[in-house]
Amino acid sequence: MTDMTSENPVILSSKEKPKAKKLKLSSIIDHSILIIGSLFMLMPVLMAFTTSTHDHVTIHKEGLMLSIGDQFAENYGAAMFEKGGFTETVDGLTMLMNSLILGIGFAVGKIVISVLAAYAIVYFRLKFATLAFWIIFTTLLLPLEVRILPSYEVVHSFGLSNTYTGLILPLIASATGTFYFRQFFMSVPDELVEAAKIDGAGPFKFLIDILVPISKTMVAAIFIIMFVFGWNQYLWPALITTDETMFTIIRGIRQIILAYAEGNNIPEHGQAMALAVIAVLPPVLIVVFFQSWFVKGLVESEK
Amino acid sequence: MQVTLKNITKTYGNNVQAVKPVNLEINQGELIVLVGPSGCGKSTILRMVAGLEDITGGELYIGDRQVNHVDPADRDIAMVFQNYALYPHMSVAQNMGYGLKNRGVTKDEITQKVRDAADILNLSEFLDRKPSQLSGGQRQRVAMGRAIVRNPSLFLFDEPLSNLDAKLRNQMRIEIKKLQRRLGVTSIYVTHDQVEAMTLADRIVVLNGGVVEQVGTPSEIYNNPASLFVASFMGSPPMNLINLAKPVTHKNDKNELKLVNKLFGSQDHNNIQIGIRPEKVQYTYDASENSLPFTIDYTEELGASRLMHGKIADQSFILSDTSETEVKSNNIHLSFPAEALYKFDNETGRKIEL
Ligand SMILES: Nc1ncnc2c1ncn2[C@@H]1O[C@H](COP(=O)(O)OP(=O)(O)OP(=O)(O)O)[C@@H](O)[C@H]1O
Ligand SMILES: [Mg+2]
Repeated sequence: MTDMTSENPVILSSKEKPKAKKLKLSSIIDHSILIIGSLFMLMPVLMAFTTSTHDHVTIHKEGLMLSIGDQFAENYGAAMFEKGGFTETVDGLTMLMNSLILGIGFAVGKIVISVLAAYAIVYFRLKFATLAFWIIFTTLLLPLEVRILPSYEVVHSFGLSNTYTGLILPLIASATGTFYFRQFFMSVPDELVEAAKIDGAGPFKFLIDILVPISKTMVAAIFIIMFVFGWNQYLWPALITTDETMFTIIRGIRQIILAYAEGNNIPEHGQAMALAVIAVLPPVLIVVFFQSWFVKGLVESEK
Repeated sequence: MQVTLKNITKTYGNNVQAVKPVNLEINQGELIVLVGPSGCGKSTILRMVAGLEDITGGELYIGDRQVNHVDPADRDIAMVFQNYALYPHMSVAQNMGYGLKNRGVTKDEITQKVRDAADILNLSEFLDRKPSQLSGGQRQRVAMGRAIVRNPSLFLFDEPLSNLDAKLRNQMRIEIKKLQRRLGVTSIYVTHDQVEAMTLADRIVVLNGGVVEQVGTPSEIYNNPASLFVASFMGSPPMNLINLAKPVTHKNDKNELKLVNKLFGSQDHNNIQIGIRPEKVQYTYDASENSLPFTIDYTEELGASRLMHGKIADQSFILSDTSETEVKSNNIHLSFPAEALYKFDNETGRKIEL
C-alpha cells in the first residue's frame, strides 16, 4: 500500500507533459463535435430563413438557397396578410392568433388541471389517492394519437368541432404535469400547511395564497414546455378544425403549399418558408422571456 | 387561559399508541415544558392541543370550552415550529399579518399590530425582507412575531430553538421567557433538551414512552425525581445510579456493593437502585469509616466544574467538583451525605421514600 502511494506522484509527474498536449487535442475534438452539432441544428432554420427571402420561381428551380434574396418584404407580407387557402379567408395573422390561443390555452389548461389534481392527491386524505395517481400516470401510455378516434367522436358529438374549446379541452389532461407538481408539493414541508391552518387559511386560500406562489418557477418551467408542445400540435388541430379560419400556423404552412400546388401554379415556397420562420418565433420568444424569469426564481431561491 | 387535558390518548393509524392517557392542568399564564427523549410523544401531545392531529380519546379544554373537534384556526392558539415554517414568498410583514388578514382585520390595523410586534422583537428594519434574506435567529423571531400579533390565548412551541447554534439558543431562550412573562400568555413548550426545560419552565412534564413520568417545578424535578427515568434524564451529568441487584463479577465488586449497601443502610438490596447527584458526592484522600475507595479513570475539565469518571462495582460513576484545586491523587475516598441519597424500586422504577 505505502509503495503504491509513494509511486503515484512519480507516475503523475512523468505523464504531466504529454497529458497537457492531449488535453488540448481532446478539447479541439470536443469543440468540433459541438460546433458540428450546433450547425446541424441551426442550418435548417438558417436555410429556411434565407430561402424565405427568394421568390418562388427561383426556389422551384434551384431548391433551397443559402444566399439572402430580395423578396423578404414581399414574402413575409404575403405570408402574414394575404388571404389564402381554398376559401381565401385565412391569412397568416389569423393563424398566428389561433396558434397563440391554442398554445396558451393548452399550457394554462394543463397547468390548472395538473395543479388541482396534484393538490388533491397530495393534500387530501382521499381513499384511493395513490391509485388515482397511478391511473393518471398510466395515461402517459395513452397519448392523444392512440385515442384519437374516440376523442374525435366525443368532441364532435358535443358539437365542439371548429371551436377553440374543442381544440384545447381534449388535450389538457396531463400526467406529466400532475407528476411534476405532485413531486414538488410533496417536497413542501408539512409545517407550512399546518402554519397556514393555524393562520386560518382554508384549503382554497392555502392553494392560492401559498402553494401556487411558491410553485411559480415550477409553473414557469411547465408553461414553457407545454406552450411549445401545444404550439407544435398538428394532428389534433388537423382533425378537429375544418373551417380554415380556425387553422393554426403549423397547419397553415402545409396548407399554403397544397393550395397552390393543386392549381397548376408553382407552389409558394417562399411564403411557406416565411410562414415557417414566423411559426418558430413565438416559442423562441417565450423561452427567452421565461428564461430570465427562471434565473430570477433561482437567484431568489425562496424554497 | 386554562388548558386541561383529561385522559388524552393518541393511537396512530399503524396501531402505535403514541400517547397513553395523559392528565394535565395548565394554569393561566403558566409556561409548561414537555420534555423527554425522542419519540416519547411530546410533539404528538402538542399537535393534538393545536388541532393538527386528531385526539383518539379523552377531552381537551381550552378555557371552559371543549375543543376536541374545533378547527385549529378557531382554537385561539398560535404555534411556533422547529423549522420556522415561514411563508417563503411573503415579506416578514406579510408573514406576520397573514393570520390577521384571514380573520378579516382591516389593513391599517394589521399594519399597526405588525409594527408593534416587530418593535417588541427588534424586527422593525426587516419588515420588507423575505425570510430567505434573514439569519436563523431572525427567522425564529419572525415565527415568534407571527404568533404574538394575533394575541392568542395559548402559545405552542415545538422545539423552536433546536435549529440555532448554542449561543443564540441561550439568548433566544431568555428572550422567549421574557416575552412570555411580559405577555402573560399560557404556553406549552416542547423540547428534548433538559437544560432548556429546566431554565424555561414554570412546571416541567417529563414524558417517557407516551407516559407522564412526573409533573413538577424544575427544582422538584431535579431534587425530588419521582422515578429512575426522571433521575437519569434530568441533570447534566445525570444522577449516579448504582444497581444493588447487579450480578457481581469481581470479588472486589462484591465488597463494594456490600459497602454501598451498608452505607445506605438498605435491607432488601435485590430490588433497589441507589442514586446520588454527581455534585453531592464528597471526597477525601484518607479512608474513613463511612467512605468508599474510588479510582478516577479520567477527568473532564469543564471550566466551572470538573467531572471525574470512574466505576463503583463495575457501574459507571461520576463526581463533579467545583473547587479550583485539582485532585492530587487518582485514588480517593467518597462519602455520601445521607440527605442527598435516593432509593428507587428496580421493578416499578418509582422512588422509595427513605
Ligand atoms: N404520523 C404518524 N404515524 C404513525 N406513528 C407516528 C406518527 N407520528 C409520530 N408517530 C409515532 O409516535 C411516537 C411519538 O412521536 P412524536 O413525534 O410525538 O415524538 P417526539 O416526542 O416529538 O419526538 P422528537 O423529540 O423526536 O420530536 C413515535 O414513536 C412516532 O414514531
Ligand atoms: Mg417532536
